[in-house]
Amino acid sequence: MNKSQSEIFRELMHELPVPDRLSPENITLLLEKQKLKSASTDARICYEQDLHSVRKIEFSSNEPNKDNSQKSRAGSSGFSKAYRITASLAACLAILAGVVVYTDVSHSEITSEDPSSSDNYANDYSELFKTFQRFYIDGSDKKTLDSASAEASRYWGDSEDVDTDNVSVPHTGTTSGITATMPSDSGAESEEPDVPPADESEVPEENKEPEAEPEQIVVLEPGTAISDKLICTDGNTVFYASGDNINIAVLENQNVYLKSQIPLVLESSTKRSFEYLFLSGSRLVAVSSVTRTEKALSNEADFGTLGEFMVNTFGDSENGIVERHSTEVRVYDVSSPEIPVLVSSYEQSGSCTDAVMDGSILYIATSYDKYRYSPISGVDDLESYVPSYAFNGQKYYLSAQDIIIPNQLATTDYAVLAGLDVSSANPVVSAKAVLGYEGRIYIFGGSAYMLTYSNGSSTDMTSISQFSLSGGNIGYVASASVPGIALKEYSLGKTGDYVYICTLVQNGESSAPNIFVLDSSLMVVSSTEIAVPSSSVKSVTFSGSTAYISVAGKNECYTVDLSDPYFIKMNDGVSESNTSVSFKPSGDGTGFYLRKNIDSTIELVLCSVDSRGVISQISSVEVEENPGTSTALNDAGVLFTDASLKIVGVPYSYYDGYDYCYKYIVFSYENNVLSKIGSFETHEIDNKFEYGRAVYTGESLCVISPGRITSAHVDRSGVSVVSEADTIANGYTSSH
Amino acid sequence: MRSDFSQLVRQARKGDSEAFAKLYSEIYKDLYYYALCNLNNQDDAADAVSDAVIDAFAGIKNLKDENAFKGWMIRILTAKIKRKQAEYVQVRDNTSSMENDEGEIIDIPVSEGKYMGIEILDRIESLSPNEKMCFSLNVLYGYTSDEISAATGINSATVRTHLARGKQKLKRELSAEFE
Repeated sequence: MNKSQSEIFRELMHELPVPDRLSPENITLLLEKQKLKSASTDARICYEQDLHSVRKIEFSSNEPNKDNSQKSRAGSSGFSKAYRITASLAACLAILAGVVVYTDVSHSEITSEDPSSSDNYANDYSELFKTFQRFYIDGSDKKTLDSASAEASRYWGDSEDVDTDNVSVPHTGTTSGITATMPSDSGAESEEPDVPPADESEVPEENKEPEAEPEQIVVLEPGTAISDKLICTDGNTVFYASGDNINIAVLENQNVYLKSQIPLVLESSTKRSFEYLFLSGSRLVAVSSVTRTEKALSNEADFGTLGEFMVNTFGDSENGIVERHSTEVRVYDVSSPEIPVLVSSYEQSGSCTDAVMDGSILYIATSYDKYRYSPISGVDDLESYVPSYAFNGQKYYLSAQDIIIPNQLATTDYAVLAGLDVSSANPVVSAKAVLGYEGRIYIFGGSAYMLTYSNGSSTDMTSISQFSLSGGNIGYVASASVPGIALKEYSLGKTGDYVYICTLVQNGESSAPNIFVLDSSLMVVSSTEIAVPSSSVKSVTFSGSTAYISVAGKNECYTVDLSDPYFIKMNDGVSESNTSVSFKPSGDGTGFYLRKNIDSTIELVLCSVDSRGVISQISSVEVEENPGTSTALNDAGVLFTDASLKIVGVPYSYYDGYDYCYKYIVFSYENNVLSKIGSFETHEIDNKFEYGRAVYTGESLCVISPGRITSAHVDRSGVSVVSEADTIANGYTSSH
Repeated sequence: MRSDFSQLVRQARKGDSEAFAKLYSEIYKDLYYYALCNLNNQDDAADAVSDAVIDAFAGIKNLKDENAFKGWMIRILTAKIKRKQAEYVQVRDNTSSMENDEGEIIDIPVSEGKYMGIEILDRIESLSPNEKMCFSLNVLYGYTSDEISAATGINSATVRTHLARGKQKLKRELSAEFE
């Protein structure tokens, strides 16, 4: 089509009226309103604007609903019929005159597939039961992300340099748990326009700048951070879980007193362990995992062909004992620390995969994969195939309308999500389950994401299902598929409204990691291929506006700039990195980690973090002259940092030939210079007194070990122990 | 003047909505027509443009090349259009009709005379979504296949295929109309 015909189309188009609400004046008003809205409470899911159509996503309904906007009827274009016919004829002749020859070239588009429209809530239990029947009768091998990953690994071969022991595991925690949230400003204004790189061949040799040293990058490992989940404080009272108890210690004039202990509920044939502790006002929330052992029911029931098939397929434990996993939430009123009162208890099917506190709302995710202790005898045998929860001892099965059955099922495992309002006497707000769980669920602020394998046009795809978390309500939002397999070594990231996912995409004989950016509706807005051989990639992690690609067997790291979600790109060059350590940001543009040297000395390393999230070493100091170890060596989250005091606390332990010395050393990093302020230590024979994490209550530094809580005074001149409270009996104590 | 344009972008980055609106005023009609070509009706097209403007204003500080403002806005709008098109698929799959406010069953409107009776523009509706997208970018903005590829994420060779097929379809439609 020649240009004149394009001009005709354009002219015809430009005669159409543009709605008033899109005029620049009204757009200015819209943007001003948006600025005000952004300053108020986030209402991401439910919002309305005067100049914009109303959209709502109903949390309790099966699918997102959309209200129709008001229809505006514009007037006629004013074209005369004669002009339209003339213009049409002219264009028609031009099209007839132009002949275009093309070749049919098939190329896959790196965009997301249209989101599956068939992810449905079950209509009733009968539909859910039939799904199970079809799944097991089918009997064909179902591909999961894990099996597809294993295939992909065999396809491109395992690199000898891959250290599988240190492969980072996708983090299923909150943004607070992901210490990778750097204090970076991805929106930092850049005044420098993009300048094309100069042709270096034209630059005289003597004027060329020396090659810059590779930047030292420490890739954040999503650390274990176990004990971080089990300590909380309101400034006067410290709550921490240790062993079989929750200890409640109160600070009075910097003296610490153990006021009470909340024991784990002990029952026969039941094991419990604390997973999380949260504090919301005067409510202490304890999340525990529960394992009950039971005898399997007889397998000799006569259920006919289908039943016999299911008996053979299910494979109960040979010794007739099965374990049933659940997750328990107990809410205590701790307004009187001496007498904590149980307010409510809730138990949900499945092992706890994540728990997040948002104000007074607790969101909890569990994986329910060991629910079968006998073959399903029929649709009414809800215990065999329907997740459940119990509130104050009363059991409820999830209704069928709260269970989502996806299009493709590779497993009959469930992900169960619940929202609980711990400030309420009846905390259960919402509980949903998704069938086909494959072990990948991530909770970020306001949303949960579940990854599963899907197969589109005979190519490997990864399906992402998004659930909204708001006010305790859980709602299915959308599903989408992106090309490739999301390997366990590739994590999921989220910044603002954008989600980042990395998958391994097969392209003919080769494969390469690709990063996709999805918006709040899971539409792919951009993508980039990582120009690193997939067999060399050890892990991909997301931190703020940067993706870090670590290379197996080498201290190298590539980065991808995510600051513009619509245009992500790999940064040039490769940086030196040490990917085997974890890093503790202090919140003021600095951070710390411990490094063990060849001579076994341990150094505390101070780093700076720039706006891109790149970490560079500033200085380091030897922690202690006696050779020893630290609980913070493999988990930098154990380090205590305070950006206002500019101090960092390091637990350290060593054997002095007689017993173990457990030491806590405090350093200052004023003006980026590390210097020791002071320390305190204790000599014990029981490692339950080894120092671990600490919290600062505003007056005291409280250092916690499983058997003791220590209150210390810290200032620029030194550190001194004020008091201690033991939570267990000790062999002997020699405190300094 | 070019320096004025750069100044407006810098002001918009600082949150100046009037500066952003001035940038927008130069391209807003083409943005709307692009959305109109690719969506079912005028309201959806206006919604897509509004959504894109809100996102663009929020993210303009990430715009590195001031001269790329127009292309950048088109990329954002393309994403909004695709999202809306996906909703059409969902609605079509789940229901073939829906109730209006009075509870009467009505068919889902497809075009609602969005081109105000201009027959030649109505012929664009015979194209597939991708063909329409490529065609409208080529006609409205004069984009080459590489530029369309950058805006839509569709491979360049596939863009050329879409363009060629789209034009062939239009040729057939108009030939049949005026035979």
